[in-house]
Amino acid sequence: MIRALWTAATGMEAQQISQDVVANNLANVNTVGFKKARADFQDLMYQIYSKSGAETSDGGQLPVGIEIGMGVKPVAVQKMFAQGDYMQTSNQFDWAIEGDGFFQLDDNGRTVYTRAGNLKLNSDGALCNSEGIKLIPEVTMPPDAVDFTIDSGGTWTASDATGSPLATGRIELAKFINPAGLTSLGRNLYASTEASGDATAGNPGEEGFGTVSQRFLEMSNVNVVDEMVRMIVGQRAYEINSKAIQTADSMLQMANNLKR
Amino acid sequence: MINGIEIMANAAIKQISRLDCATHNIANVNTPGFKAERFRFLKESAGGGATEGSPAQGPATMVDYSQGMMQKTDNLFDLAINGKGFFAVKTQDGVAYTKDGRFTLNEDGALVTQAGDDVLGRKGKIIIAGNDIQISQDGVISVGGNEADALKIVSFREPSALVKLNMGLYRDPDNLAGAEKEEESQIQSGYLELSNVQAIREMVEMINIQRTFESYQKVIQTMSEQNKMSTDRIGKL
Repeated sequence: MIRALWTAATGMEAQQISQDVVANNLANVNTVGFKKARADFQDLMYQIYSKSGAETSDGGQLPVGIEIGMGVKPVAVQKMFAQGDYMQTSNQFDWAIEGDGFFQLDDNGRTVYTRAGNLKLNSDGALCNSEGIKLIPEVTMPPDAVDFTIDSGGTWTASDATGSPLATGRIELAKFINPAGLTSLGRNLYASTEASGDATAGNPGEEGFGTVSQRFLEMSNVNVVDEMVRMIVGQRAYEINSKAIQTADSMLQMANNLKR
Repeated sequence: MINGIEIMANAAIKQISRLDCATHNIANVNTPGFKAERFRFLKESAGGGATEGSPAQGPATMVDYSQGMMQKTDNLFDLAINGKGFFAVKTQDGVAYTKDGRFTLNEDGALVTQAGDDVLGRKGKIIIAGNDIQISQDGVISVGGNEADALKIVSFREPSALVKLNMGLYRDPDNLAGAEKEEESQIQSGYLELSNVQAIREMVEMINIQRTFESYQKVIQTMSEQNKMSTDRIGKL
């Protein structure tokens, strides 16, 4: 049958994946610390009918050959770690990272990473994320502390009602050579992979690590206008691929009608 | 008569290849760095040279290397080439070239393509370590204000001799294309060069193919009518 049918089908499939990624981005337009993704495509292999430079029957050389491609395939869904917008809050446990770095969390012994700094206290006074996964290194609020401050370098102080400090410490951030290689665990969490490389931990504000801003949250970096445009482009590309299928189909029909 | 039908059938089969080519372009209408394929019919003229225009003889595909539009992505390692240059990439089977600048760093801090192949710089692969990375318009990569490496940008005297592989790669297997150092092209960091496939052009191409195919079908039908008539009448004699 006509190869064009299958080629156009790869095109439609690719656009479908693109729409899936756009839909997930849009669904997370208000998710704190969310990083948008992009579906990446590349062309498939080419079938070579005649090579350029091949000899013709009368001894000449073909200046160009015939190579016909087989369509497109998805290669990656790349996460884009561009900075999201900041939103001011009045909560002392809302922290945003300005620049590179991830908060480290202890998910049952495994270190996971997040940009979402909407932290809470658990019943023991330890700082954790919304699911109760504790921060690394652990930050514990003494029972009679009322005020908590963290500076841009990550040094925190918990003090009582009179303002005298009861506990202090410093948080660490983690950084990756290739953050795009992190795997998404969902729930705003990432885990390291071979592609991302191992995490390098360091103090906020030093050696290229970002700084910490208290009473701010980093919002999703999804840009609604961009995603809308991507959606339109994807839809139209899907449509034209379907037209290619229709054309191939009607040509097959004509071929079938040759014999009456 | 039978010979005439065969010629028409061959011509129709070539229209199918032409449709395959248009469909491949359409499938890649959103693939950054993709260059459209053009299906051309060439006629061997009396002098032996090839001329364009005659139907259904010696077809060839040519790559249209015209510039695609630029899309802003703000991703530092999304690189677009404005001009006729190509990035050089080291694959398992040797050096290949590409217009697709969606690069990332791998776990060793080397600049790689999405297939994981090393992007070539001045001396082999490009290792980037440090902060404040900038890529200038002439392809110089600087880290923290110091020049670290430069992208190897290549252009070709005869780009038509390049063989198109998959994954947006091109190869020059017999050194016919004449690679030379490219200095006029500009590198734009944070941008991608989009596919240069034009949807309208491909739609028109498809309509054209379908109608051409249809007229070949009609000719074949007419010829076979005539065959039938002549055999019928000869039978009556």
